Order: sequence, then structure tokens, then C-alpha cells
Amino acid sequence: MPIVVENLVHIYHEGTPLEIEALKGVSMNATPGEWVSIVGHTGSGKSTLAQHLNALLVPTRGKVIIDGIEVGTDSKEHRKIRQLVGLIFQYPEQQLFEETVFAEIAFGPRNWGVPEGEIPSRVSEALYLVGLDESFSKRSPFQLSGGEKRRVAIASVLSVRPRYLVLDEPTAGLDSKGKDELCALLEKLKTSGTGIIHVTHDLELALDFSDKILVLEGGKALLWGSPEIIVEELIERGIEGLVMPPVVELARRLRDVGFDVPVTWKAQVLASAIEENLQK
Amino acid sequence: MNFQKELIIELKNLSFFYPGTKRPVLRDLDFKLRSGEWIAVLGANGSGKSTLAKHFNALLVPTQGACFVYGHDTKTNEGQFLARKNVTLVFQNPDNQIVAAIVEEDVAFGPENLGIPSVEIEERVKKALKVTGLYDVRKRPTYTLSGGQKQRLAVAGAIAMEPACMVLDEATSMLDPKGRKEINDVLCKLHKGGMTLISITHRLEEIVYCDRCVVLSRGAKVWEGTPRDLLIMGDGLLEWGLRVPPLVEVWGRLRDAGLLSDEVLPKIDEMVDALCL
Repeated sequence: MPIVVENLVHIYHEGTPLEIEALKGVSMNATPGEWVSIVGHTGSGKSTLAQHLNALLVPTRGKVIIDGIEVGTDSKEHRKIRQLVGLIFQYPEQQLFEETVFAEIAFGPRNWGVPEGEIPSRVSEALYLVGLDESFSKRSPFQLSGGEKRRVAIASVLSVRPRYLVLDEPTAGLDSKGKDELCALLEKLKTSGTGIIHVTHDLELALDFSDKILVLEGGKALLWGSPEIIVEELIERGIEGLVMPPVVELARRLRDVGFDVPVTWKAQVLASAIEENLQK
Repeated sequence: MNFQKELIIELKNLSFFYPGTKRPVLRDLDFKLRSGEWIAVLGANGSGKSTLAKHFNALLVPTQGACFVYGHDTKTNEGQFLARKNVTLVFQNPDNQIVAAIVEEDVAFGPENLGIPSVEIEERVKKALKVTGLYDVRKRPTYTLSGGQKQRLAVAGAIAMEPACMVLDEATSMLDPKGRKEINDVLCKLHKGGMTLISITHRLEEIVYCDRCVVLSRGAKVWEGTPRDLLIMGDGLLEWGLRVPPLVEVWGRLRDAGLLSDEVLPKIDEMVDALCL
């Protein structure tokens, strides 16, 4: 069962002078075991879209269907949607509040009525998934490093065992090591069948990991497809305001001056192609 | 032309411990910054970069060793005064650094505090707004600016104080690629105009325009040299938690294959020109 978004329109403050149309008819889909990235810069509507995926917002028009349940038709169904879709906000570590890491991670499943006997195994499982050992469970979440805090925050959503994970800029503020570790974690979750919906302005990162990418601009879907399709379209059309990944830009510039190189964001592929060109 | 440039900041065996802790956050650091230079201080999270930044304008003072600004120890009143007057800091979060409701008033805040005559403040504000490309939005409320514009506003406010040196502590890390490019363009312009700059970052994309790089790992200086010599190290940088960006990977491969000469830096323009020859 997939997530399906069809012609989604969202208007904030409809019918008032403050009316803003944040999404203007956006369609996309995602299945468990898939990594879908939503890319766009500030104000493009990507966070508004993300908040529909676990029914924090309901569509003004159009449809959002999560595993067969339509958002906005029956608010009692929203409970189910929120169990299916875990939403991780930007800087999730700012939302930590419990005294121990254990209590923090147990909060979600306890809230959903998971029997107390099952809680410790849920916590262990979530800690294991984010790569923290059991010794963390007794510590205060506030005494951890930034990267560890973020992993605890993610674990506290994973303990509910969501089928989909929606992450808003999960790598913001992490250094390259922290970024690598987080992406490896998400990839592991994806392989084990979780659907990853990754909201980001980092096109380079999205190209490296996604199965499908949605590029939003001003509330409209500009591009939708595999990383290969996105890069080709980017080079052909050039998107106003979207900064091209440097490797793609280099490939484009070299093609303009007659090099026979593929449109690619992969450093090694481009380097090999340039070498071949110059050896001819 | 290359006569001895004026020494602005000098660190001598600087070590720093936060009160009540035993592990030093900074260990035995030495380096010099001369006027007109652009230095990048690099390191992974937790390497001590931001703690070091706070020493440059005497927000923190060394536990051992010393930090001199224009030859005066920042532990002395004279040194502290010189540091606060000549070195300004721009921080990570664009929303935390704005004090006024209107763009041009925010830029004027710093010089007003310094007691500059109002005619001169007007001049300075105009100049700072023009350099940062904010002149057209000078009458706008600050909350309507984009992240990149807000961060440029923070830079404009710093410039208007006419410091000898500006320190940017991860000033682009909360911005999107467009905002990052805007800030980098402004910094290049300021550098050309002779301003002394320190960029504190873990993004290797941002160092190609600098003159010199200093790498910190666990509070100690582990490397110092030119951006080119640093980037040549490729995956060797992972040891310090630094990752070479994809464009530099392409550059490294082409250098290894003898297709790019030593002078070419990993900038798109330079690489295209060199490959077309």
C-alpha cells in the first residue's frame, strides 16, 4: 500500500486577506522500501507538503491517501495515519524532554497503548537501529552530543514502528561524518522496508540516495522522477533559483564547449568521461 | 608589493578549559593572522572551532597561553578593548542576530553603539548595504527577509562597524545553497577590498577562495597550509572528520591523471578553461 498525493492544493487562511496558496496542485507517491526526496528552497512548500503526510494539515483541495486512508475525511482515522507515518521535524533534538533516554524513546509507544511489558524491547530495538548501545538508556538526553541527541530523537519515532518516516532536513547542522552516519541509518531502514520521505534543500544529497525526487518551486511540482531524469531535465531546462550541484554544472559547461560527457552528478563517472575525452 | 603586513591576531600556546572540566577544548594553539588575509578554520563537530572563534574578540580568554590582538593580550583591559573594537563575529543562526525592525536601522545599530557621528553612520550604512546587495530592501521589515538576506544583513551590520577583521562562525550552515552562494560572493568582494576574514566551517567547498587553512582536531592544530595542499589530501581528510566534496573529487582524479596543472584550483571556471587548452 502506498502514499498517494493527487493534485494537492493547500491554502493557508483561506477567505481572509492573509490567504496564501502554499501548494498549487502537487502530485507524488511513495511506497514502503522506497526513498523519496522532496527538494526545493525556502518557501517552496516542501514543509507544508510534509505535514499533510501525517495529517497535521488537511488538503484544501485534492487528495492525500496513506495506505488507503484519506487524510481529512474522518479525523478519527488520523490516529491510524500518525501511527503509520512518523514525522521528524527539523532539529528534532530541540524536542527532547524526558529525564532519561529510555523514557524519551518509550514515550511514543506508551502513548499508543503498547503493553508495558513490550516497552523495553521496543526501546532496545530503536536504540539498536540508530546505532546507540544499551548504556545510553539510563543517561539524560540533555547530556549527549548533538549527533547523539538527534539519533535519540529519531529513535523515539522509530519505537512506534512507523511504516513511513518523513524527515524535514534531517542532516542540517551535522558535519560530514554525522551526515554519512545518518544517511547510512536511513538506507538501512529503507532496506528493511520503511518508506523514507526526505525533505531537503540539498539536491546533491537527494541525488545520491533517492529512488525518486520531487522538485518543488513556489508551491508547484517542477520535476518528478528518478535522479537520472531530474539531472537531465535540470541541464536541459535549467531551473531558476535552484543552484545546480557543482559536478552537474561542470558537466554542463564541458558539454557546452564540445566535450562528450554524460549528464551526471557522480564525481567518478564524470572524471572517467573527461579522461576518455582527452585521451582521444 | 609583499611587504610585511600588519599582524592583527596572534595565538601563543593557547589552551582553554571550560570551568570545572579537565579535558582541554583547545590545546596549545599557535598561529598568526595578518591584515588582508582570509583564513579558514576547519574541523569536525566538537573540534573546538567555535570556542576558538570566541577567543578572537575576547568573549573567552585562554586558560593557558595567550591571544594577542594588535599586540595586546586579550586578558588585559587594553587587549579586550582592541579585540571588541576590531574583531566582529557573525554567527550561525540568522534569526538570532537581528536587533532592529527595519533593515537599515539594524545595520546602523553597531556604529550607533560605537558613538559614531550620525552623518558618518548614514554613509557607513549605505556602503554596507551596497556591498551586501541589500540596498534595495533597506526600508523592509527585517522579518520579511529570506535566510540568505538575513545572514547578509548580519554581515552588513558587522561591516558598518568597520572592523579590521570579521570572523564568520559557520555563517552559512543554516542556509540553502542559494543563500550560501550569496554570502560567499559577498565575502569574496570584501576580501578583494582588503578586509581580513576568518571563516569557521566544516564545508570544504568554501575554502577554495581562502589564502590559508588551519585544521583543528580535538582542539589541537593538526595542519596548516594552502587550500590546494589541503584538498590534494583527498580521503586522507576523513581522519579529521572532513569530507572532500564531489567537485574536488573530480579535480583530484584529473590532477592524478596529469590533466590539470598545479595552479588550477577546484573552481568550475578554472577547470573548464584548463581542460579546453
